[in-house]
Amino acid sequence: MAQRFAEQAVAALRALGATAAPGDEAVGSVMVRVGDAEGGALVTLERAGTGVRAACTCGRPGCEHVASVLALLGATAPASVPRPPVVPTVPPPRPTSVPAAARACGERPDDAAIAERLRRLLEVLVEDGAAVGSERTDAMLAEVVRFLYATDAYGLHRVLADLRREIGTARPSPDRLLRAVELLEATCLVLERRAGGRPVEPGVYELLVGRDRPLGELQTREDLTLLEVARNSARTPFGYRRAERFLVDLATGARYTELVAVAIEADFPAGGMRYAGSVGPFPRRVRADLAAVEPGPSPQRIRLLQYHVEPEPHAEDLRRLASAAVRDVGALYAEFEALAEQVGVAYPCFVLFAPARVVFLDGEATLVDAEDRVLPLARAVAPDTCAAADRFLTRGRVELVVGHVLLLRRMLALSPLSLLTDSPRGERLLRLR
Amino acid sequence: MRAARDAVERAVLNGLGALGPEELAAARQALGEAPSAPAGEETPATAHDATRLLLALCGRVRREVQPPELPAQDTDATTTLERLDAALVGTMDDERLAAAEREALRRHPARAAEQRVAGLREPRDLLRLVTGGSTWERRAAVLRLEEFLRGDGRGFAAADRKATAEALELEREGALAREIDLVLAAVSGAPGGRARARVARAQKLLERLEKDVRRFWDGDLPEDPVVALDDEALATLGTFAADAPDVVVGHLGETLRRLTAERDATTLERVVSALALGADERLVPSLLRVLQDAEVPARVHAARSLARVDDPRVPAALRKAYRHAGTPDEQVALAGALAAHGDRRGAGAVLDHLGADQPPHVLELALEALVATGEPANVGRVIPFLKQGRVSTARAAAAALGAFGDGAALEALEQAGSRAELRPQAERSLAQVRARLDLAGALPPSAVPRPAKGDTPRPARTRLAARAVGRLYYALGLLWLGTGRRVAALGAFELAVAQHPYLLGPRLARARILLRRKELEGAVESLRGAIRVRAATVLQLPDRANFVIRAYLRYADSCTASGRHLRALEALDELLGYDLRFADVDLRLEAQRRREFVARDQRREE
Repeated sequence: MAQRFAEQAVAALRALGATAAPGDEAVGSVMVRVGDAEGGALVTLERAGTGVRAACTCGRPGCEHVASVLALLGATAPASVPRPPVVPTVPPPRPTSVPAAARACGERPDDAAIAERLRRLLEVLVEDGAAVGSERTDAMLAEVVRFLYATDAYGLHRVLADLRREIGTARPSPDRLLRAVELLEATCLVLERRAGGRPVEPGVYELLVGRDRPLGELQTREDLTLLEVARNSARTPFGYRRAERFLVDLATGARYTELVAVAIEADFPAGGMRYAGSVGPFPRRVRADLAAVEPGPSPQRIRLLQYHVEPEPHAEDLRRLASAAVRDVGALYAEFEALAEQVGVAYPCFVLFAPARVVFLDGEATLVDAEDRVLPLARAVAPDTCAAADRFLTRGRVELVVGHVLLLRRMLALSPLSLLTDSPRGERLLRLR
Repeated sequence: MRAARDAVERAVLNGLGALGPEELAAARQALGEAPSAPAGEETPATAHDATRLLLALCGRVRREVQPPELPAQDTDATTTLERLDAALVGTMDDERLAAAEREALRRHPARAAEQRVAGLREPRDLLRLVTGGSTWERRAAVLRLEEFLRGDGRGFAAADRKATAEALELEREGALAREIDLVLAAVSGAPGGRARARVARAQKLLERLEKDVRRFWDGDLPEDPVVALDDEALATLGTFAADAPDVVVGHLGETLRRLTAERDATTLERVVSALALGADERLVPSLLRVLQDAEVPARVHAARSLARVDDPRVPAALRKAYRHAGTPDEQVALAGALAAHGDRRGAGAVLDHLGADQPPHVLELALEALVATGEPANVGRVIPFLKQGRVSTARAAAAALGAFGDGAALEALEQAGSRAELRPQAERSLAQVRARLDLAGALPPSAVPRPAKGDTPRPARTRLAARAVGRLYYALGLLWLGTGRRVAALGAFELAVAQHPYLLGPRLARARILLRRKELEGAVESLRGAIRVRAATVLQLPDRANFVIRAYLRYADSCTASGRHLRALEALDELLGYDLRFADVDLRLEAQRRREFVARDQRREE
């Protein structure tokens, strides 16, 4: 009988002149490659608090890769060993507007069903007038929220949450209402197209509708050096907080986003293919040994599977970051338009903009490029964040503004998320959200 | 094209009835679509038509958008962003809304405070404002005084500088203590030396923490270094967070995020409460997240911290949180925080909770909120609480009356000062009211003669022989102590106190020995006696004041551990009743935090 891999491994390690330590507390993570480079997968075991988190790059539950690792670790028998009783600490539920009975599911409805509900919502919204509002509109919107509660339709959740918030305000903004309706129509078209079996541009469905893809559908990347440049987060009425972390690959300038649904309601289901997110302070430098990237428009969604965090960037990193930024407002317009063409609707475009100068008019900052073209801050959308940006911009030379470019009526404006400034304390990335 | 788009947008916003067959046909024509029916026989528009046309027309418009150029700038100061916007896109509803938000930001009380301070020329007036002003006024006045103390003030004599530094040191209260320490640290003389020592202690902690944070993320430390800090160090971190390097602040923000996401309510409350004196602006995003997602106790602490942060992101977040506040604690705390930022929408709710029938902790929170929401008209409603048997409530009432700055409260505060446990707060509040009235030129003469400041009146002196014997025993005790014979020293100190009750040394030495022997009740009793005999001599030396706080905290901890919450609460109330202005600000914060935790534990027990 051939010697087991584990036995061979033990022999190989002993050959290095070491003896086994009394405990394994020092081991942080283990990565095992199963199969060959083409058809195989990487199984990662990582300490998470007091437990261990397991992940396989193939993403299939109960896959043969995990079975092989189980065998390697000596767990050959079926799981007949009695497990210790686990009493999860469930915090008391917080008040919510959605009836609890309606959100026990978390299962995702099919595209045709979602499209049908959205179409009905759009009909009611337009018939009664989005700015006028009606009980019918409120009821329909509440029904769609219940229908999609705790699912992984993150893109759709974003626009529905925006619409709900705008309708709920005393003085809704006409521009934001129109953008939401426009986005809902584009989303509806994508859903109808997919439900009809017609092709959709890669990544567009994930952006507008959203879903957690299985790891097997993602591209794996190894040895990335990433710098976290911004964060954004917002509570949603779907049981979770949408937390986004934006990362830039220091070698290529490629932009990524980590999207994490952080449960804020007690009944929000965890697990499945939901990505738990990485940890680390802002701004952090991440050495990702293994990451999975979704295909789609920039910033691509990334999942960090095995990584090491440094709690601050190196000076060289910030210089590289600045060099990866766009310096021309015209180029930003082109970037925005390219994304809008791909998605089929004006969509917030994540950018790094290095202005030539900042002009202060009545104490408020406006970004200007070398050609004297203007990129104003989106004060109509985020007045508080823009006012905070004004404060930081007055204190030191700004090198970079990170944020989303939005279409506001007939011009683009930047909703800032963070700033790279050269202050008396040196170059610093400052988070605004 | 523009008319067609306007028609479709009107229909989407105001209802489908606004899109007649003619407008529908015009919109289709603008997009180059063939008419669906002959002229005059068009069918009414459907919702689908409207949304489809909206998407298509907006797409057309989007493609035509060009980057605007900076308009030729007016050289005078009248150029505004509104004018720039108007030049670029024309005035629209969203811009009007944004302008309203901007106006609200400009009306922030911190801006008014800066203007008021800019108008004051005399250091004496600035000192009065430091004593009697709002948080923002005090902060602005300290910054202005810094110019005088560092030599930028023209004609500011060295003697005046010394007097100003000494007066400023007495104002090391609450949120401003750290800033005053930083100003004084740059000044020569005793106040400067003391401030430098305090700042150096904090710097040492921050440097150690920076190393620990790096080790933690390198995997060399198993436990989060912020959570692992003891309570006193945590209070130091919270107080001096603004001076912390980015690495530490980033990690602190991440700890807040993690604890909120993991719903570790107890640890989160412990960490957030350490930021009660005001957080650094780098922590605002993390604190806003706590405010939105955490449990009520942590949200109350976050609101308290955010009340003192001058940052445009804060008022909007507080308004939103106030709309969703579900419990009286939260509602009152948020109303107070909002009022600190100039938004008095919650003032009514605070007054609603100002009743003797309210639970004591809600009543105290309401009185705390009144510091910001209150106005002179509320004096009559607050004065009765000065007579409350519960000393923490009476102290909160005195603090509120001091913040109102109204002369009508003077008499009541002077009378409240006769209660020993209330005296420091009553005196502080009186000073606030007088400073405010003095600045307004309306200071009335004191109606009631004020009791002698500091110690209680001393009875007749003991006989000379007894005093001499007492001193001898004290010397003997020190001798024993020097040779390491603590039990003998303890006996000698006790004999010294018996002979000479007004000798402070043996009481303090006895307290130190008992503390080391973990006989905490005896140590606190000894300190209590020392303070009763000569409060000023004990509490006006920073090291001694710090020692008193630490001893009381340890005693309160031991009481809590043995389930005697009421006793712990009494000890902490007694401690907070002392004049602790010379103690380190982070230790004072720690005493307040501990009192809140113990009070809550006691409520739960009841």
